[in-house]
Amino acid sequence: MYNKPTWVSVMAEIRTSATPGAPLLSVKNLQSWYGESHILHGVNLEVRQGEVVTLLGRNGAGKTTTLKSIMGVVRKRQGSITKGGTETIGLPSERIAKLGIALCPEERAIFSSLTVRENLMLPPKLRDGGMSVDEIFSLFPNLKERIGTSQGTKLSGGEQQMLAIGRILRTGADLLLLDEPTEGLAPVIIQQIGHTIRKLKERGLTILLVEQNFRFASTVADRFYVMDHGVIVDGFKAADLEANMPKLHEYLGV
Amino acid sequence: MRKYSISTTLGAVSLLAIAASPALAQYKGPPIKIGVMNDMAGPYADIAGKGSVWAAKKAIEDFGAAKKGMTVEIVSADHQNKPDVGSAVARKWLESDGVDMITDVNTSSVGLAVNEVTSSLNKAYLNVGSATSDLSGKACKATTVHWIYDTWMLANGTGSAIVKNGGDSWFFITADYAFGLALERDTEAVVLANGGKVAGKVRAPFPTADFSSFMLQAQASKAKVIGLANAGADTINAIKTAGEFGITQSGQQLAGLLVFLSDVHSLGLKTAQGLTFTDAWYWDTNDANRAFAKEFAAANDGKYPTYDHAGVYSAVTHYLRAAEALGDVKDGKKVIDKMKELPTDDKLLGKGMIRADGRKIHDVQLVQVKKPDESKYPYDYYKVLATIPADKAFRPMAEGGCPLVK
Amino acid sequence: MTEIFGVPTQALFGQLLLGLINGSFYALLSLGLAVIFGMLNIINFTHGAQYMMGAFGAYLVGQYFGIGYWPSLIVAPLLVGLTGVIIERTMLKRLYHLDHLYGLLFTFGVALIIQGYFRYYYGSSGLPYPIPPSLAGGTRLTLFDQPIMFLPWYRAWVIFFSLAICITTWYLIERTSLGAKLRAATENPTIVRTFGVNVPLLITLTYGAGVGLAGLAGVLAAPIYQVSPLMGADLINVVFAVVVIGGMGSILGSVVTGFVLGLIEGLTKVFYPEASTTVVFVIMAIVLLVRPAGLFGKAATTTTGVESTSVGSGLDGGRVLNVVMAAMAVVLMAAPFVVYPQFLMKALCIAMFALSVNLLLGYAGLLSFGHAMFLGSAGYVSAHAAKVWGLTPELAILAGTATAAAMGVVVGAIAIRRQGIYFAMTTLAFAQMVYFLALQVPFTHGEDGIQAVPRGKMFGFIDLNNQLSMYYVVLAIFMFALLMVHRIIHSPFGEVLKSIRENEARAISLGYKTDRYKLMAFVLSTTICGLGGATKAIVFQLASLTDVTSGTSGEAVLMTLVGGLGTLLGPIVGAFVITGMETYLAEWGQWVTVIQGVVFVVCVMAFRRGLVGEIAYRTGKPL
Repeated sequence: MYNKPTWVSVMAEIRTSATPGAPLLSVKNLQSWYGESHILHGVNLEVRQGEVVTLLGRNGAGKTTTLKSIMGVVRKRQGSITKGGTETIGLPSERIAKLGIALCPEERAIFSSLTVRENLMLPPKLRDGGMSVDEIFSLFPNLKERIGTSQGTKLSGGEQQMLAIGRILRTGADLLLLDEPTEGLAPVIIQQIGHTIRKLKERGLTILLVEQNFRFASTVADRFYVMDHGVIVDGFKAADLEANMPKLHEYLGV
Repeated sequence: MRKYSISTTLGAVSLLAIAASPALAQYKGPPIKIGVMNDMAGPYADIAGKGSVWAAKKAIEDFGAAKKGMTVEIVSADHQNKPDVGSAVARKWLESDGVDMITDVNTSSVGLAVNEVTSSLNKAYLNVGSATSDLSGKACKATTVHWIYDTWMLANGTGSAIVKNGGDSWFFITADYAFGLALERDTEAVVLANGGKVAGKVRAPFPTADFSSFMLQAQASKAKVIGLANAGADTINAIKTAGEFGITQSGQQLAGLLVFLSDVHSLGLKTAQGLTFTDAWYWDTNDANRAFAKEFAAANDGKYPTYDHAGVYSAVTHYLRAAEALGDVKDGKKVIDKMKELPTDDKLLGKGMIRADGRKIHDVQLVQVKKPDESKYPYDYYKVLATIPADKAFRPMAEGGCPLVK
Repeated sequence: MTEIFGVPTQALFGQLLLGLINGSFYALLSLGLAVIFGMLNIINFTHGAQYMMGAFGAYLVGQYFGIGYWPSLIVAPLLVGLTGVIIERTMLKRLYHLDHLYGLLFTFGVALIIQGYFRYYYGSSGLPYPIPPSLAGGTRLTLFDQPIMFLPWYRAWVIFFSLAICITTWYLIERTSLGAKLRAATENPTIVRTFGVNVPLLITLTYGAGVGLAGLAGVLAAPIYQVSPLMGADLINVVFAVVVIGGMGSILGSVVTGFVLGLIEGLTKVFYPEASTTVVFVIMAIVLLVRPAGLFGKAATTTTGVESTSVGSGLDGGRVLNVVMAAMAVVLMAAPFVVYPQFLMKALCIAMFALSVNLLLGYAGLLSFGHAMFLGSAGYVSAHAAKVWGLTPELAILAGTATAAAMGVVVGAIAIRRQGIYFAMTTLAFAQMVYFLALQVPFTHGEDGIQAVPRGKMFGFIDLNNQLSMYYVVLAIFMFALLMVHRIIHSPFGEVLKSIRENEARAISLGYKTDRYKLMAFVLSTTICGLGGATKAIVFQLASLTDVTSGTSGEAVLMTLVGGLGTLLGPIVGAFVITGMETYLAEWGQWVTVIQGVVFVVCVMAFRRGLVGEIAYRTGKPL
């Protein structure tokens, strides 16, 4: 068994790495419940401005719950989540959205009772930086062709994913939470998504990504966290991915 | 079973006799308890309702009960137009609350149900509010008197008057329940007997909010008269609709078969003008009636009394007279027999009598609703066209099928 | 003049036009209901009362502020919508996380409060509201030079305005970005919130808008119908039928169905007018048979589970329960010497009614809106058997009970196939049809009811005219019914029922033919209900229409709620409480309705376990 790194040592590692920017998102001792089930037992993580950070972990580790807690979808939570210095614990989702966070959920949540155009236009522009339709089309050319489709759910899986990411760009959020964007998609599409994420990073957006596919994650991420049983158990920079492979295999059980 | 009394809250007034000097006190019997039961908040609340309670109290006061040493108490209840509620309240009143006489009780189905209860317990029943002529017909009882009106009187008075006036072809819009059907049946008989004919009938569900399609059918029949065999809200709705569709303007006459003053007030003269019907008592016919009406209005939010209220006043007055003569009211049949023996006379209905079949008779009027510009003061709604004498106004005793009359 | 089926063409067209006008109201009202149901998944039973408030609003602002018809069209709906917003914000929103049944019961209670209050202050004669002068009069319509009818301008306005509102609403919802937010929030409110859309506010405003639509319909109705406290109650059942037929949640469905049904009603008025108020329900039953989700609807939502107190294992019977039941029996045996027996007997019969409803709702999870039809029908048959056929009371009661059981088989077989609110609406449709039959069929004597039913001699020798004898017979019947229910609940059959209520899918996967169990439960329920009704007819010597009205069904649900859903003794306590209220507060008239409404609301908001349920919960013993 490897020595499990402590929170202190992980943070020390991060601080010593020369990543620019102040922490945009700071999560301290986050505990979350679904009804009676205690899912998160004290999550600590940090995402700095302009970074792409990936949360790894096996099924049930609490990755999606973490994202949902940050977005305020999981109502019962304790601890501290600050975005740009503002505390968000206790705020409802719509207020958190106004602070510049956006979530692209695992299930994509494309609305069947809305057209593709309506799906895309649904999120309102909440802050400066909210992209126009043309800007989104430039990032997702496929979407432009399919914009006239009568029902959002008539798109293919890959197109729905594009739509799901594309629409949250309208809000002007500078922190994107993406939950398993490549799940169930063909390799060609996965490449496209990776390409898009890199472009978003170029634009200055910060992204917290949940992924099972760490090969894909390694093409976009700056840093990794590993989650297990509702806590962060490890963290390392992208450059150290190969070195941490054996540990990773054990955590993920692959 | 231990007797106990449940005191009623709203609407219960207790008139206690002040200890007058023994020389004046003539009545030696136990305290008398009268129950006024009717629809207090439903479609017929304005026709009877709390006004009847006031009328009963006024009758006691005018009779001078206190001075005669009589203790008379009034209790009241809302039967909600449901026979089971009415019969349950009646039973409770008579069995365990010490009530001696029940009066008013509008809505025929309730009236009939209470009739059974009072008869089985041998207590007096002075029904004022029910329309069904069966109360003095096949459902007559030795303990029951039917006061002020019934379907036969309405049908006969209104029907024959209108036919004689030229309205010899009729179309009926009937509320599809026992009361409406009875009214239609009685009126049709009168129309035919007077040489008229019936061009058609339509049954409207009870209750109906929108009479437009029935009015259209009536219009299409080209009958001279449209007979409304219904009451309360149905009548009001029907008349309103007729006004809206210009029925009277195009020459057809509306005959309301059961119309109360409160209905006319609700409609407004503009809509109700020209309506012709039989009225059992109208407030603006003599000074005594006018005085009563003014007092009533002052105590009842400005509403003027209907003939139901006058009936209650008259019934209670005559009852007290019989009570005074007998000295005891516990035996219902004895009290009713006494009431039949004494001729009736009160300031509202004037002179009259109670027949062997329990039918109280008096003179009634044929009235017509005034035009708006003909009305000079509040509730100045009717002009009296004719008076129908008591012996002509009500169904002949022999025709009723009452078992008391052989 | 040409004729179609013996009716002059011109009369026919006139009636169709009138039907279209009625249809306008149906469409407008069902529009509001559909919008509310679509967004909130709440069946807004208050809709009829809010419609009435709109009409009264127009009347009152006219009386006190001199505001005329045209401004009232805006003012009244705004005011009514505002009351809706307040209700939603303070109370309704707390119920969203619960079973839909509670929202339904809550709005039902609010309707009782509003209606009772208005009835108390304004009576029921109705108040006049004039047709605005600018729309007075009308025109003679002709078709091919044949006169059809005189069309009042106001009625034409009603059609035009309703259509305009319906189209506008449809457009708002289907074609605007606001509507897109609404539709999305209906599908997945959580995600829509993450986009920064204030969904709770949206929901509040939607409820307010739906309620405002009801108020608007009321203003529209004021000049042609009576402004009366009852105007909503008469209409609401039909409107619900329209929404169910159109497909709950479908805007288009409600509007189209509203107009079409108005037309059909108009036709019925020409050919068979007595049935005009019932034809809607016949159509509803047929539609539900063929297309359970309605004509335009999406799949029906199922009820997930009402809060029943199921404490402890059902099979152990519960010693505490047995002791309590024995004590209750003793108390009831001594009771007639202390309490007025007529009241006790009424309460016992009604308790059987409540027990039957609870069996269905608390244990099988099925809400029936129409149980009164079994109560009343059993009463009619029992009364007729005793009075006309001269049967001895026990045979008469048996006849009545058997009738209810047979009806239960028929109704149950059709209704069981549906779930949740659709099941409830099917039972309502049948109840309305039974009401219609009760009114038309000669032996029931319509409004008068069957009166002077003889009590007779039980088994040929117990004289039931003796009040005490009658009482003990009723008590015996009641104890029999209670023991039957007890046996049913605490049996393997009862356990299966409970599992079906909690998770039907799982029960099916375990191999249970759940439909058969539900049907059995339904028939058992109607049988016990019938027993109560048949006995009641003999006790009160009267069988009347009251027992088949939907208000009576609602009261049974209220009793079960007050006493405790899913407890054995709860409905009995509830029955005594409610019957006691009605009997001893009868002089208060309409305040009783208001109080009942308040009790409904309080129970749903804060006291869901009910009296007995609360005790059972705290002591941990099944009751």
